[in-house]
Amino acid sequence: MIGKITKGRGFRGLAEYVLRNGRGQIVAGPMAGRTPRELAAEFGQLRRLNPKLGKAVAHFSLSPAPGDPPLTEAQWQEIAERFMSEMGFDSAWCGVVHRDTDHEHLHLMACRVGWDGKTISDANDYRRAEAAIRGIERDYGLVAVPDPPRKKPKPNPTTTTKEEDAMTDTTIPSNPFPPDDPHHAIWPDGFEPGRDLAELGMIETVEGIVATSASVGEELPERRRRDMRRLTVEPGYEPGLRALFGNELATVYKHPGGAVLYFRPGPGRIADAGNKLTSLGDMPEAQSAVRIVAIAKTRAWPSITFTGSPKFVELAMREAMASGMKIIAKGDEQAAILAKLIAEKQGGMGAMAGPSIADDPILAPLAELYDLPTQTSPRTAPTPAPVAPSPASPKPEPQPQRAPVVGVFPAFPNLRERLKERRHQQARTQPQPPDPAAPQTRKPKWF
Amino acid sequence: MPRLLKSRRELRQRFDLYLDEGEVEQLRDNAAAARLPMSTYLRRVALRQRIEAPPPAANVARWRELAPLANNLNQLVRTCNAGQVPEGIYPAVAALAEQVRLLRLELLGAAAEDEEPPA
Repeated sequence: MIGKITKGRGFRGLAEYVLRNGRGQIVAGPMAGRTPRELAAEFGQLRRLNPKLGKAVAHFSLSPAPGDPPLTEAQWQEIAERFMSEMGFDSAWCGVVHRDTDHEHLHLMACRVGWDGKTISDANDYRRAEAAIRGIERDYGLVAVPDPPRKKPKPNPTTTTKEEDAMTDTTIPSNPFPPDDPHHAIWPDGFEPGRDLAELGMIETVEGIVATSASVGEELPERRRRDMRRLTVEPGYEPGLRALFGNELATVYKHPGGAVLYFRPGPGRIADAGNKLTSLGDMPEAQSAVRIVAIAKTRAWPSITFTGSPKFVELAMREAMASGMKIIAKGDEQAAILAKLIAEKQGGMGAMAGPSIADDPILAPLAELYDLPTQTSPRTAPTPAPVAPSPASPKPEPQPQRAPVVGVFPAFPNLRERLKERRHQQARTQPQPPDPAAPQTRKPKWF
Repeated sequence: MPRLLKSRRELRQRFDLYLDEGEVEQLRDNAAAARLPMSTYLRRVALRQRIEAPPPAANVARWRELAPLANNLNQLVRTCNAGQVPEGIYPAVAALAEQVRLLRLELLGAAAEDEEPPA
């Protein structure tokens, strides 16, 4: 059996169609009229209960498959009443059977205004009609018509797949150890999204809470910041974190404002907003510093700045310096911490020898800047905040052995000019003797 | 088909009408009885257009109650035409007679008495 649904404005035309010349037989419905004129007048009176509804007429036609046996009048009546009941039509309607075609079929005309004057909803009416017809086919032994092919829903990038949901739904069991047990402290936090969101909301709204966090130090263009915030919804976000932390990362909970990373062992979580990383819970400050700086380093933040206790700031700055990140200090206290760390680095340069520029194939050409004379223009700091000094800044006297480079690699604002000037100076002071092994080439005429 | 409501695009002219509170309440009640917006009701009254009020709720309720009875009557007539007299015909005919009596009274505007008057 197949069904068809149409909606119209007037009853008279429909009633004329289904009843003209005696072609149809009324088999069901509460209507008193028997002719098109009577039916239209009756429907017209009832539709006045809601004059605002323009399309007050619903027309359903139910047609069995050609191979189905003919149905009796009582069966048609039952089918009509059942169909209208399942479609929610508690209103005036009329069922008419047509037997003047090759195979009989049923017309149902209905008023879409209920007894209370409210419009009868047609939401999902095709789907509901299909379900009702499938049930009628099953109960009356009719030929089951296959369902129409459904359109595939478009993939929504904001919705997560089942696989991703499986990650966020992973629950960590509650801590089974008593508080005085040493294992209690290393048990990871239970998966509680509500607590995470509440904690983040408090950090954002309540003044006076100094969150242990790190963010990009420089003012970035809005487009760049938006791209950074979108990182948490990228498909490679979670695999990247798992590659970074391995089994240490227990759960990633994604929420509209970013993600919360659960670690094991040990309590505490890290809230990731793309351009800001906040330590939640009771994560030890040393762990927070290591993990936050590791994430920021992976994302290649141009600079990093920290908030939190002085201990955390110092630990995080130490990590960031070891990672070669550009650090921007907030306030005098952090500037003092940064200066102390820089002094430590420079004082123990030999002992804390980091990777040399000469060892790095990418940075190796910059090593020649050590031999530049003193009259090169001084480097200007990009921001007024104290920044770790560049080890590649020009030195007054040439050193026989290049010092190993530690700490931060700041930008070289006039690199091209300085290199050019140096080459000119070398050419003036030390004329190169002609190389006899070099092939004698003739100068072109246009030189 | 009843007259459809005009769209807002057509109704672009407006003017103020000063009434006292009683008149406003009366107009509001009349519009609600006609199930029309107040402006539509006023416009139709002022332009002497027909006000198509819905049937009274009591009439609609009675009409609904009579529907299954009418169905039974139809089936009875068909069965009799087929030469069969089904069982249970007498209670159905008695109920039908009572309903017809009530309907006649209602159509004349007279209420039926629920109890026998005291002798």
